[in-house]
Amino acid sequence: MTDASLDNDSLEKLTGIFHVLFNAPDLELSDDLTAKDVPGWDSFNHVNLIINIEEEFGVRFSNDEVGKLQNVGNLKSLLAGKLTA
Amino acid sequence: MTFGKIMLNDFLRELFTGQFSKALALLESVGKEPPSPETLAMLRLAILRPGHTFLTYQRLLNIWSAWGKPALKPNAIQKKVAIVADFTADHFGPMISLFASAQGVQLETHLPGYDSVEQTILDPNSPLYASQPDIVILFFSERWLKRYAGNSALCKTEDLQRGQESLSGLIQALETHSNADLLIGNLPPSAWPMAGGIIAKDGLAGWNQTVSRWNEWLTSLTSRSLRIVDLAGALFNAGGSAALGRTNYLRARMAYEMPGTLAVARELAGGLAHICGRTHRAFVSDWDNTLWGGEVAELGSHGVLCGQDSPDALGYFLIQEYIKSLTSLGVLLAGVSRNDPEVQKIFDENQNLPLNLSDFASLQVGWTPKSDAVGRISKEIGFGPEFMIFMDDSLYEIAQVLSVHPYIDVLWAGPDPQGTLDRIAQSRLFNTLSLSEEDLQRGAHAAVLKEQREFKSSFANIDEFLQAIEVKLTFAQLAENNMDRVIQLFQKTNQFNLTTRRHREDELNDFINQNGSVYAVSYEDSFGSQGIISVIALQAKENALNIESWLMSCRVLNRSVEQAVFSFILENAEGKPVIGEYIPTEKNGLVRSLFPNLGFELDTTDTETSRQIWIWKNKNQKPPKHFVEIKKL
Repeated sequence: MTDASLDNDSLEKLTGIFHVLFNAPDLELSDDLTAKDVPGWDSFNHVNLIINIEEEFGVRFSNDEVGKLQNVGNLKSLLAGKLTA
Repeated sequence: MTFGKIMLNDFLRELFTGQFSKALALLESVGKEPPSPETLAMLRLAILRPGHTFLTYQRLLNIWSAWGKPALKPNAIQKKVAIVADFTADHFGPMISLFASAQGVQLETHLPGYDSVEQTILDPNSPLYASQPDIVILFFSERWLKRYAGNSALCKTEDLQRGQESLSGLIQALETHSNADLLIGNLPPSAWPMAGGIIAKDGLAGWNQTVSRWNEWLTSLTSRSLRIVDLAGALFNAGGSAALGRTNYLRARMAYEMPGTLAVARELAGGLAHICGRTHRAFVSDWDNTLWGGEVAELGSHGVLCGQDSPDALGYFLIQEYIKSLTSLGVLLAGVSRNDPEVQKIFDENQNLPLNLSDFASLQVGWTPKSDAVGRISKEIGFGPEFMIFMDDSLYEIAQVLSVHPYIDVLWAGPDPQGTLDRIAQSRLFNTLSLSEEDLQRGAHAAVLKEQREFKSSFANIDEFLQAIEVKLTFAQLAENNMDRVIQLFQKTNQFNLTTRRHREDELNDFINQNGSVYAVSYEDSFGSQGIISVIALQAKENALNIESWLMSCRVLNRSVEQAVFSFILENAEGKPVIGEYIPTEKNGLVRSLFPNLGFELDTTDTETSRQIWIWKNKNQKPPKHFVEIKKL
């Protein structure tokens, strides 16, 4: 994991992806948010989320990186690292 | 209403020439109030537009769901569909439903458990059969075939045959335990191509060769309920191996990456639309800057761009070639141009144009609004705008047509001929899975229709004209050689359809076993044959003859055909009264007055359903006049 943080545009885009995939327009992406907090975030939709983030941002996560994600804070850092790399 | 029109204009601009995401934001701004026909049209056009990311279509799905998943075309057909796959196929139910809705088919989908193809299909008590699907979609990853064919770079012919026997067994089980139609997907090549390629030697074949043989074998399977969908072709169009499951397969056993998932869902939805008779049947095209570059009235017949002389001229040439190619599938072409009718001579004068005037079933060249032209085309060719594609380079004209005909589908031509060509080909809107004889002949009929119109104008009255064209009707009992067309007419006919009963083969056979007779009626006149244009289902009761179903293609209207069909029915009644039934629908207002016009008397009207029973008492009444020679096979 890197310590990079997401710029506002990217955070907004990431939030938009969550809103669409979980059909939850009011969801806020706090760092401690986890799958159990979001209805519909099951194992299939977890993979679906990762795939869609990769597609929309044009980045690629390794399976190892995906496996280590614990919460949305980890996801933001991972994504920020990819975008600044 | 004005707000809706402004929004439609903004939406079309963003959809075709601006940012798709802004077009979606406009739809999201509509909120949850009941959508108007215009907003439904906008959603439908966005769904039909290919080439965007999965998330985009998920957004459209959310909008559609927020509106309560309304039908996006008139007279939508409801179907229960079971999706059976050997891989993770959770995306397909929602996406196929979305794409099918844009083609007028509303789905309720059912997805049996992951990788349980054989268990699901072979067990008559499985949830698949409990869900009583109208259609079963069956598609595989290559892993399924490899269970039988093995993982060697060279596959033994007998191992491929084991796979074939297994699928045959599954098809047989599906046909035994269910009346559902079957859509089976063919196989693409591998995401990671195997060495061995197309080698074929001594009973061994490389994997690409094996997949080719499998796909060829699939298309050779013959069963009325079975259609093969070209998923391999759809995946090739979506990017080839980049669309096949690599990352997604490793992570979640998904057979495709997201572009492939969308392409396959779209193709399967097209297959469902085909089964339900909801494919497009006419292509209505503008001329200037759509079929050729420039304006013919300004540049003259030889001054426009179309031919081999420049990249853009070649682009327009290929557009015309592509559109012309659709006629062999029974798609009717219509030309719409705001021009002096004299410009039609371009098709005679310019030999570089692949299209000829005779390729057009309907021509509307003049100064009236294009929406009027579309209305006239609809009357001439006998079906509604919802079965048409309208293509124009002007977003204004597209908006004008849509504001009057919200159910027509549209393509924007531009900004250059390559853009147009890509859009026509990628729309997959004429994607037919099988053809009946009548589909193949429809194009020829189009030219005949035009000749008849011209012929008609030279006669003093319609009776004289009808006598001159020597119409003959042939009545044949339902049989193997007319079954496909009869079923097709039952599924597709909306306007001239008195009871709109969507019979299928098994129901018709049951009907015949209960004193019923089903006749396929073929039409012929001095211009040529139109094939089977009408079906009647008659049931002999003790004291009367019932007309259970009567449907007819609108292209033979106004030729005293209905009067002639009735005189045939009267012969079958053998002096007994004839009972007619009319069940009104949104579409069959055309036949509201058929029975009174033929001389029937109203017997009863069901106040709840508006279903009417009419009676021909058969007591010395004079049957209506017709000009048709009747033959019974």
